[in-house]
Amino acid sequence: MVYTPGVPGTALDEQFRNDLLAVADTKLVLGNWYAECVMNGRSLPDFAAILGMCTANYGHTRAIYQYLAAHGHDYVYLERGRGPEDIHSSNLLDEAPTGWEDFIVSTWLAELATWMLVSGYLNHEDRAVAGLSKKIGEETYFHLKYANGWFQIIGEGKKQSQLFQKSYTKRFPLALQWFGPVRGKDQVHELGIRDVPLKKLRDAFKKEVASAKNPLGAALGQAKPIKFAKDWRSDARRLGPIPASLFEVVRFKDTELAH
Amino acid sequence: MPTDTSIPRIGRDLGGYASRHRDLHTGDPDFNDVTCPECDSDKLEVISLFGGAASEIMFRCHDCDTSFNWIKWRGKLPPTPSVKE
Repeated sequence: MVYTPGVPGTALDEQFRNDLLAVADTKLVLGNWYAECVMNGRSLPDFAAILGMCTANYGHTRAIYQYLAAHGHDYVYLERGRGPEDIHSSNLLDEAPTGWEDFIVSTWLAELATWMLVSGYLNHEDRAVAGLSKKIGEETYFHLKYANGWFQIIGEGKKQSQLFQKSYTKRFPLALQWFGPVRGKDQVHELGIRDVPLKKLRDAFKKEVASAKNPLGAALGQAKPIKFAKDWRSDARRLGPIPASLFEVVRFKDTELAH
Repeated sequence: MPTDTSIPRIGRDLGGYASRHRDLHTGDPDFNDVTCPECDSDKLEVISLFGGAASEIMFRCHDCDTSFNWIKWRGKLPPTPSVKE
């Protein structure tokens, strides 16, 4: 059946499905980052925050998978049946953090990038999508506030600031790449499924990232134009499969336990 | 009600990142309407941006020393082209 907003069982537009899966899978990996890194927190409030953000991101992933399942996808396959080439998470989170500043930069960029794409569905015709987008935004608001607090602390230390800038230089292009080529097709917008064009969301993401200079007390460098390799997978918003080491972390460990 | 601020209070750490975060988030305009559920005071500090659940912020009241959780969502969204301020 042709996709009809709000009608379960109708097949989603493929590009729209890809958008949702890219967000859900990036949040799956992000949730695992938080789970793996929680004990690197600097204080008890960090532990509480990181675990809170972990569960929130797992929740977003689960909610999107359930929405996809309501529109003809196999939930079991989505959650625990896919290989590393099928997981559509951002290249931004492929490589494990090298330190606390790298962790803060990477998780902040992932939270902000996924929010920007999701926010394009705030006015979606299907109330389930619009409501889910709003809920993700409400929760991400506080995840970004947490990052913002850390920016101020990092900005007070010379060495920490340098580490932050180094990490930002490496991670920001990967986050920007997630939005795809500047002149790429934007079928989801053209079909009216997302009312904000990708270009506008990308620009808003860049603007919001640049505003971090205020709490940090230092301007962040500009990203060089991104060259998209031939093996860029526009459907997955990434290059190649996720690394084997990352797959080992995020894969469902025992399908028998899931029943 | 304890009023002598020279007396160290239970659970109050004297420095470090936890204190720094508390200072950073206390006074945030997002929490302007929060008051203590015990004494109604608005002299509060943010103990943790995430409390017993991801949906809660943990506060402590400066007047009566009560710690309490506050449900954080009030419909605020991060900046985006879709949201009119």
